[in-house]
Amino acid sequence: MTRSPYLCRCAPALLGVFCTFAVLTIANSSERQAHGQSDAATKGLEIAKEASRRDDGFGDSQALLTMAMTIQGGQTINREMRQKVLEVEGDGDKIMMVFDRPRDLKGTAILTFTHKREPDEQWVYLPALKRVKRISSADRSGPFMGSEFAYEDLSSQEVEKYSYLYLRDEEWDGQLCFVVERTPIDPNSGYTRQITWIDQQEYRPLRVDYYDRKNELLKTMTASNFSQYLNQYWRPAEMVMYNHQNGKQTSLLFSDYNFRVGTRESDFTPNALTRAR
Amino acid sequence: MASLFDKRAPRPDIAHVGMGDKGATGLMPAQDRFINLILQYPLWMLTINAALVAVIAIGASRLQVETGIDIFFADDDPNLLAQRSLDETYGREDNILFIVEAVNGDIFTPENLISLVALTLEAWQMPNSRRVDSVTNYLYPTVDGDDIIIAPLLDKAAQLDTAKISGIRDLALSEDALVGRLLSSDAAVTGVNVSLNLNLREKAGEVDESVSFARQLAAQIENSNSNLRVYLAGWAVTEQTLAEVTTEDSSLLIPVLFVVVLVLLAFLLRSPFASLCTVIVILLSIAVGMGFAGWAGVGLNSVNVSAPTIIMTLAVADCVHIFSAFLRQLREGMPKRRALEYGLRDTLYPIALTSVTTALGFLSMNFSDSPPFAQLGNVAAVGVLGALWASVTILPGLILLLPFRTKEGVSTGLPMDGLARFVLSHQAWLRWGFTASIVIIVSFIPRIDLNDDPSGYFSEAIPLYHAINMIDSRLSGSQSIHYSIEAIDGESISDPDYLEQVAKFVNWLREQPEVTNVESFTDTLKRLNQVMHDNSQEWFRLPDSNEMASQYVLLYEISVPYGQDVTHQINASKSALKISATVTNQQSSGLIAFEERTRLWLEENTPDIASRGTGQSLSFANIGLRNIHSMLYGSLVAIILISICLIIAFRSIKFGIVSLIPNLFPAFVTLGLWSIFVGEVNIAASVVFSITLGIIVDDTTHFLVRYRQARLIHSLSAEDAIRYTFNSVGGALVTTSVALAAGFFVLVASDFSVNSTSGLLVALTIFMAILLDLLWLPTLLIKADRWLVQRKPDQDQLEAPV
Repeated sequence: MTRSPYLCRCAPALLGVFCTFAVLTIANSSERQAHGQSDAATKGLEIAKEASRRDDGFGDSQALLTMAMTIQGGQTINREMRQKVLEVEGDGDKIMMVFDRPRDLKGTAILTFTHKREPDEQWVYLPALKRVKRISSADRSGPFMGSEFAYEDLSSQEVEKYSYLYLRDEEWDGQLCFVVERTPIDPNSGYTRQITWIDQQEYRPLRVDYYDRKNELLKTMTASNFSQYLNQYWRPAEMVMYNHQNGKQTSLLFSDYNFRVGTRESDFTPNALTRAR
Repeated sequence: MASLFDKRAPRPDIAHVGMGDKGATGLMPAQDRFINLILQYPLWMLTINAALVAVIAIGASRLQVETGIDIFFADDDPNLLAQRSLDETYGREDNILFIVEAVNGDIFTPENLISLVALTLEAWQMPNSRRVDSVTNYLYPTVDGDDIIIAPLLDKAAQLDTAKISGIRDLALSEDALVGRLLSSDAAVTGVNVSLNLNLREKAGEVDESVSFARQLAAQIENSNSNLRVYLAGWAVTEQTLAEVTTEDSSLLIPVLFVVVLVLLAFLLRSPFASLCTVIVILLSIAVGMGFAGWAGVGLNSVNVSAPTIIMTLAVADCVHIFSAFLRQLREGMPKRRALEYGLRDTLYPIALTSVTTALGFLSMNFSDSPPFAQLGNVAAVGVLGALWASVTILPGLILLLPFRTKEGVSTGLPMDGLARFVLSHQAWLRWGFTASIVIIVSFIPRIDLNDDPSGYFSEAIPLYHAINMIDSRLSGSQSIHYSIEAIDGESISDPDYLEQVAKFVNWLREQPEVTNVESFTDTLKRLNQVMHDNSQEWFRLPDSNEMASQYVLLYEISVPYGQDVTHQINASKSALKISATVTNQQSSGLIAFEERTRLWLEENTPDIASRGTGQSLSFANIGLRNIHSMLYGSLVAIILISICLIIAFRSIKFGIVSLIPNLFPAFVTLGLWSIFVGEVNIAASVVFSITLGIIVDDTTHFLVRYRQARLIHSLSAEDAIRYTFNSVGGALVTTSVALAAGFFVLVASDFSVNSTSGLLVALTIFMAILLDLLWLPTLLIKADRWLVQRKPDQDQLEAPV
């Protein structure tokens, strides 16, 4: 199990959390704490907004995605798909995923309209059935394709989907970060809260700790090998999700990023799904 | 002849002390030197040896508790491998099941459903919970025009009207996946199952956390809705309950057992100080055994934890022999030091012989293929030798330090001479009466059912007893078997041919009388196929292409909530499905037979997907039967080995063979009686042999050593030799047996049936051992005298009576 290096890296951070908490509890009167809370909330929201602002205007993007799951015996299972994203002004992005591998899933496509406040909408095209179906599910917090990622971890991270609380500054992976706690607004979210590490230079989320519905640490996601595109937009080449409760891990590898390839609104409709292949 | 012995029964006195045994004469100088050393420097011996014991005892601080089933199996055991692979692929089976009974007979009323939704939601907050399955959160795909809706049957009971409720009720009752697992067919009882993610290392603490939470939640639901009764079952609850009842026993009943033994000893020996010394020797012996276990890196588990009790029995026996001999001389007016010297000379050889042979017997348990039994054997062997060590090196010092009454006329009060007279005058009756009864009783042994099933572990005072009853009688079955079925040729589970065969197996399983429910993803696939075809009934069937099946799996996977995914049914590489059959409570052997039947069916009917059933129920059934067998055969081998030792010690094959009679029959008679009156025996039977082994061998060895000595060295007639034996060791044997049998009888009060049954069986076996040794063995020895002692004339010439 690849647990130890991770825990080693996390340990100082966890210790930091504990110490901060202890100091806060001892030093602050409840009034000052309440005041501090609202300050922290404002600062947390500002950080999220800034991160979102820096990502504005990318238009559309495409990337190849490989999902690698390590199972017992060290065997790795790979799934390959293409991800297309269309930025929508004033609302959440539109995301299309088209599967290439395994062979049985080739051409299967999922279209998601993410929304800032309402639940996301989703359509699926199954080539074996040659039909597009709209899928209603209030709660998509389950694992995505048997991986350690949940659908909601991969969906568009709109600012409005969470409330925020700035916790502290902390170095992570050699970069000074804001550590911000965010709480999902959606009651059907699989998480009570997430702790994010956002680097102060470029406002990229480098690490996210996910706490499950009983507020126990469930997973940690780390993003790495960032590249900058169009001189502005940072994208990771690798995201690794480690599940602390079952010891399993999934990697997502991104490659062949392309921005502003000229996809149009009409390429992101349920009907367009049949042509996605 | 008899009148001669009436007044002056031959008592071993200083003149013919020692083993006087031809075989052991070579040891005599060594023994004398040893006894002289002890009596010359008693305090030094006491101090030095106590210090040595203390050094060994330090090891006990290294002892760690082991749990889990892995410890019972060799690493390449197919059952263990299957279970491990199942746990790794689909997650461990550990769970807590809330069983909710609607007193008004229907769970589908608005109030009951509100409680059930609340229970399902709250169950998520249980520490270590991984998934929650209930009727209300059961995912059921439905169609609305071109929309597919994958939603729980019921999230918010508050908004429901009666029409909608009855719709949900009908739907739930028609779902194969629910009925007989989470819902009774009369809708009066339902289950909420919480799967747990337990960290194996800190398991005990985590189980405690989860179960405490579950108990509070159950109470809360009962308080808020008087219509509902909530019971708790599941692996975590079983484990927790086991821990609780065994803790209660070891903090209450085991101490009472010790106190009863010691009080009886004080009474029977007429000396509180003798009892006090015995306590010290017991503690030192256990310290040696458990210290050794610690140093040897043995982990404490449910099997080898009985080592201290085994060690205790032999420590008691050793002390009682020394005290009986010592006190008798003391009370006849001998000075203390000489009485002690006498006591040691008189008993050292038989005690050493008993201890060494018993230790060897326990060591033979190393042949068991179940590691905990080998460990138990080793720890008990060391402890038994520790008991010998402590009673010959430390006990003499204690005796000399403590004030023992020297008042004359106080005897042990056991009328052994009268008993000997009774046995001798009714020997024919006793011989044939006992022989006939024993033959009849023993003939019942084959009818005994060896069975070990955790549901039978608890008395009615334990809530889990009622919960398991509730499951088996009202809801579903308390056992389950899982099949991880690999895709054909390592391909994908989407293969239509494979799915067809799995469905065939599932259908066959559902027809089996012991099966209440089968959970299989093939049902979900059928439902998805139907839903994707506008809910048309004819499409309620398996998808007919690889692509179709794969795409349905994907569709389902991206639509389900956290904790209700399919990873517990489909492996990560999509190359195997887990089929789970819930089975009504079978005995261990029944469950094993059921698994074999299913395996056979798979091989015959669907050979491409042949696989073996596994899971915790089956593992426990296997462990139970294995443990019983290991222990029974292990003890049998031990007894035979002990008899071989006695053959060597006695230099007589015939005496060795005779020793088999008192060694084997007590336990046989007990098992026979149990078969007649109870019929079924659980794992308790296995510990009975090992706990009583020492005491049975002690009875036999002391009796035969004494008898041989009288018969061959003192050339007494067979009848006089019996009388001599009764007088010299009978009192000690009866004392030990009465004290230990009464002590173990205390365990009958336990709520843990393994302890109550084994307490009763041990008490009965000890009682049988002394009964047969005193009333049956003598009559056989007399009858077989000519065969046993052929060289009598030679003996007379060689060693004339003193």
